[in-house]
Amino acid sequence: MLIDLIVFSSLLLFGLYSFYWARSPALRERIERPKQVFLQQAQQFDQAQREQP
Amino acid sequence: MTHVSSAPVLVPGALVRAHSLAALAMLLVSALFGILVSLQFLWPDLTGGSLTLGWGRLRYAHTQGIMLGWLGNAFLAFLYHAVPVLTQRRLTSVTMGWCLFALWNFMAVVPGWVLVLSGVSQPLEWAEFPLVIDAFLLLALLLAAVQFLPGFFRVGLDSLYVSSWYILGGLVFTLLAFPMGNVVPELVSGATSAAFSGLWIHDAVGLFVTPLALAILYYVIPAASGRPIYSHFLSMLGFWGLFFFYPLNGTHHYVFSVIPMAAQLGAIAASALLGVIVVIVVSNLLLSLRGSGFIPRDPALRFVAVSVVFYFIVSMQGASQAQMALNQLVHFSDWVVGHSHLAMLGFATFAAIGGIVHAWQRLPAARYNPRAINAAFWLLTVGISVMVIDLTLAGLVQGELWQAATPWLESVQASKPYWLVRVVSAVPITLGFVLLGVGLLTGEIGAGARAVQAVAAQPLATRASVTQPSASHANASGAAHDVSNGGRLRMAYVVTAVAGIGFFALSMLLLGLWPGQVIDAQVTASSPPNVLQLTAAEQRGRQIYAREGCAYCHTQQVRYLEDDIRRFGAPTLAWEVQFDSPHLWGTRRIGPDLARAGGVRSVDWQYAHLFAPRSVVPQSIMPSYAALFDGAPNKPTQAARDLVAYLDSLGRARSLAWPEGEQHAQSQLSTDEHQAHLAFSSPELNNHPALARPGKSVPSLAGITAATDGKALWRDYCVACHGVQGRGDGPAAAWLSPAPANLAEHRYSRTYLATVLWNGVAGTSMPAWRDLSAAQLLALLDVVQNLPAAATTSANSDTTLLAAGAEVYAANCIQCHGADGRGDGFAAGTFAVTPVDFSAQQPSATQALAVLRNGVPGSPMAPWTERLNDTQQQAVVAYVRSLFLTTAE
Repeated sequence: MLIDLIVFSSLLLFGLYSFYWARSPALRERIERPKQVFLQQAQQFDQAQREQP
Repeated sequence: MTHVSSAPVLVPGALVRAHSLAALAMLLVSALFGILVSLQFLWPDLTGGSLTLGWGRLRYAHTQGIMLGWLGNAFLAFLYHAVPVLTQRRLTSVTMGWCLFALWNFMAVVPGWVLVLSGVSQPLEWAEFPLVIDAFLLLALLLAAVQFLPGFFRVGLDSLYVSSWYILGGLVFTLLAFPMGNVVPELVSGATSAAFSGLWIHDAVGLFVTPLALAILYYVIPAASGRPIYSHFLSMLGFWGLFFFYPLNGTHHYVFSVIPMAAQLGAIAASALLGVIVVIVVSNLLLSLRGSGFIPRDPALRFVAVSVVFYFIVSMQGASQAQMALNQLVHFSDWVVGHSHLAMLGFATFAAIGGIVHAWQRLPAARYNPRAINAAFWLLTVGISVMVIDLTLAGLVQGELWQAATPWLESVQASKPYWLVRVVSAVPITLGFVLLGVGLLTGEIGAGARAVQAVAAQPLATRASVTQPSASHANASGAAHDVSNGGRLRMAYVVTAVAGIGFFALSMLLLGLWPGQVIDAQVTASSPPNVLQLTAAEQRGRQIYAREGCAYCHTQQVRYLEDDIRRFGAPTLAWEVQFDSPHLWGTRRIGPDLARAGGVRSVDWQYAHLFAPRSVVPQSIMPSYAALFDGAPNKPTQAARDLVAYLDSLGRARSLAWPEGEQHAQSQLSTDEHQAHLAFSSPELNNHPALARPGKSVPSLAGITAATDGKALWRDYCVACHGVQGRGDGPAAAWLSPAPANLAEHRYSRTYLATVLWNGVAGTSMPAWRDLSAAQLLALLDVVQNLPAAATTSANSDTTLLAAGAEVYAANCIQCHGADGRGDGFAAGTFAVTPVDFSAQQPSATQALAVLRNGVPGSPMAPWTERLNDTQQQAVVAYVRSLFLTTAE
């Protein structure tokens, strides 16, 4: 029973998450956005270091 | 806290530097502890019997030092660099940062080491620092949460990068899991204590080390390569998957134990599913590394890339070794030690070095020597790979030998070449650590920053082929916009927090609280009434056993496996350990399991073994505990007495419970088919197989061919007590009472020798040698019968003398030795040491006279010189020698 709970609850969670992701282009864009934001933050940091006296 | 709307964000460089250098220093000290531990496998007396530098205490200091001293500081160094970048905000307080630095290092790790090496510790894996240190660590974790987390709560969930998720998850979950793992096992007992301890063993790696290491991987790969990660969707799938499954893994450390099978199977299933999640995580990370080259040029990226590979291997290893088929082979072996080194020294250490180097490169005034760091990379990669492969192979060999029912010491002997390779592998690893320090402390000032600036100066198009984010997406100060979403943002955080904490609570419920309830019910149903608890001396001995780390070499947990049962007796039941707090089940067997060790060896043997282990077990690698004695085994201090009293108590409750307790347990549990097998109705099973048993049957040796290694067996198992020539003058003989038999002065019937080898001799230090095969017993039997002097003795045939001897015998000896000299007189049953059976063993005349005149110290046989004159002594000696049945030879 414990195994069933773990397996099926995880499948359900991942299924819902994946389904929502597949159905919603807006969600896909929103989910992927942080990686672009972070990259820019990291590059801004290095750029700012370069510009420091 | 100040919101910084655009770069540069203010990274507290001094704190990055301080934690990095502290991490390196503690890494070197922890590695030194580990090297001393590994050397003692080959040279057990390396530290001269010092308790402070004894194997167990060093082992405690090694693991806590690596996890808290090295990785803890390395993670903090990285967080001081990464969190301001991720949140675009200053941290809460630099002053608080220095308080945290002082608290972590000078109130927790350093005093923790001092206390552990002084003998103040708790015997819980990955939680060895004592409770007083745990309090400081908990305070430090709280400070870390206050220092690093507030900035994230100002960032919208939509903008929260996966590294931020892992940092949030790691810090929050560690705050929850740390007290659960360090305190709860002290508050509960027995199998429930083990269940909670198992949770922490996995949570320490899964909820503290792994999230922060993955935060580094997800941070450094894009920041150093200039390309975003492959998929943020997959990274978040991995994040939630890891945080769901990791806490559910804990019980896989106690597979085949008395912890409810449903919890074990749940943990095994979660382990397999965790492997699936790791495939997703690693695939995403490897895809994110595309274009960086097979061996990236940037040192930080290089370490991080190999960390990803190590993470994949260690996770696949973990998922498979949790499965029952493999678990029963490799659990308790060096396979698991290799696995933990791959996790902590491979995956986590490489990630931590990557994080430190990445942050260090960006410290404007720091020295930086990339050549030394690259050399460190190769040394560490080679060293750790050799160590892990070596330990994995060692584990397979050990597991095979344990399953093959060979004597325990054969697994120790077979392991020695592998342990030597492990020591050798420490050379490149240590050199790598030293060179890493050289790389961070030498070179030109600002060389790292210039290297980064050179890369940053390149046009983005040449560094990344991805579509650049739109202005709105890439607005690094978008937090203000997200905050304006007000209620929606707060609700999202609430939902996420409830889900995250819910995962942890679920693991506590399913693998801690619920098994605890079931175990309590089992104990109530099956425990015999009035179970004997430890005496005050035994309790003190238990504390010494825990303090010296004995549980890291000797388990106290017989699993529900045929191999375990054959070697150590019946599986451990919940009621047997109901008073053990905290539990001492252990997760490694370098020496044999001790759950039923009580009564197997004499107290004298235990003292000799503790004082000079190789005096009684020549092949033993156990460290000497001579510090517990006043210079000799027969001068034990109170501590030695207490420890031996505790060892002698192990398995006592189970042994005393038979048969009434077993019948009671069976009647209570028979309605539950899963629990019916918890009760055993065999007295043999309820004791250790090597426990001496008078008057029991022996396996037939007819038709068996003797093994060819009789002399080697004699050397390994008998010489320590009986001496090379069998004269009872081995290195340990002087410390044993009764003294070991002088085999050279006796003739023995084969049946008698077989009985002694199979059952031992009760009341003496002669154990039962049931872990030897019948062929090996036969080989030993041949060795004893062919000892030089033993074959030359013959009986006197003077009938007058024999008649006089019979008269003396009837008047003085018959009460103990019986009418026919079979050692079965009416008083025989009252003695701990059974009277000699003269029909089965014939002493030489010299030996028999010596016994008559001196008695046998440690046995009921007293000197007879005051009651028998010389003539009577000669006569009775001739008579008892005539009782030997030569046909029995």
